Amino acid sequence: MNILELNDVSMTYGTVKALRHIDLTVAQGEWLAIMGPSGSGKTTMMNIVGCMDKASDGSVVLDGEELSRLPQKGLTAIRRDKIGLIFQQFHLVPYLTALENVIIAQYYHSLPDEDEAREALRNVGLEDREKHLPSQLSGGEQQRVCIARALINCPKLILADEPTGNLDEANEKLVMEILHRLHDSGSTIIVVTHSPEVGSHADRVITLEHGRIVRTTSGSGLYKSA
Amino acid sequence: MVAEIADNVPGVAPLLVKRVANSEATVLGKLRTLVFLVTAIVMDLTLICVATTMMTVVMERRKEIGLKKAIGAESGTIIGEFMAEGAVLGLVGGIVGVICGFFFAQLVSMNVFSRAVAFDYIAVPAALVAAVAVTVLACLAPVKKAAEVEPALVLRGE
Repeated sequence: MNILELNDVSMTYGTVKALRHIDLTVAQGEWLAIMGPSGSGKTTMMNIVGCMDKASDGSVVLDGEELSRLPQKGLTAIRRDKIGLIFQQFHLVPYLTALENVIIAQYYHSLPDEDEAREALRNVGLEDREKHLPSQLSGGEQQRVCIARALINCPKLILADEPTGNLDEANEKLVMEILHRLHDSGSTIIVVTHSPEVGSHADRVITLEHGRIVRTTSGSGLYKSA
Repeated sequence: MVAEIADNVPGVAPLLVKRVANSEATVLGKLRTLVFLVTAIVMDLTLICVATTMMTVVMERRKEIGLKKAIGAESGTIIGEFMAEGAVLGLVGGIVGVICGFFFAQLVSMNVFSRAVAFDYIAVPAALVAAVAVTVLACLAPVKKAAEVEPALVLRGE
């Protein structure tokens, strides 16, 4: 079953065509990597899939819901209920502790549950850092808090924008291990990355150039032109 | 009678008590009007200061607002959070203002009129309500700005 379908999706900002006629399906439980140079449309695609932007043309269906028909409130609800976001810059609230940064995602979703939030931190190996502020955490730890926050509401889709972009090798390995665990447990993951190393972990890699999919690499390493 | 006393008692310039009282009432009335005017001006200035400060706060916290919206907060929720922050700040400022205001009123009253100021149990809640109301009013424009933050714009492209 497909969790995500993009049908002839285009995105135009003024006179700039950021995405051109994108057709893409992502199966449930698949790990997809989106690669490409700067300006290729990766972030635009992520913003559309993540319901933070609406495509100019075409249709986007996420978990059976047609996103282009939804008003802003509907898109916010989809983001809240079905998508877990992991950012390159972590984007933790600086005056909240690690535990509170996880709870904040619960707060907007349903009811805060400290025990659940603690469990989420335990799953990323940060159970003894729950009272620390982001400024007291290393980059890798902050990213793990971000992952815990993204997973707390059991999203259908995990969207990661350069999740290891700001991390050293050791922390990158830790974060990739967590993503692998999630993938093995059946989560659907879409990672936007510059790094071929990170992309190589995915089941499938699509490469964007000038807003088009120019190459699809399957997990076996076979190249297929788009 | 005033003229009689003035004629018969040298070195005295009598005035009717009623006239003295009326003069005092006129002066106090003008003072009260002046105080109200000053209060209105101060409240307007406070409104501008609070609005400017809250606008700066919103601008500084754009990424935080964008993040909250990205993880599912609706615009109404963001508005409620900032209005509540503003109301709490107004209340705290009001309490501090009432305490300092009463203290300085006592100082002025003792030095100028040699009398203590009586504690007015209506003025205190009225001042607090006014402080909260001015702060909440001042927050309207900045909070509207906060609600307009687009998560995709503030969170991408670092």
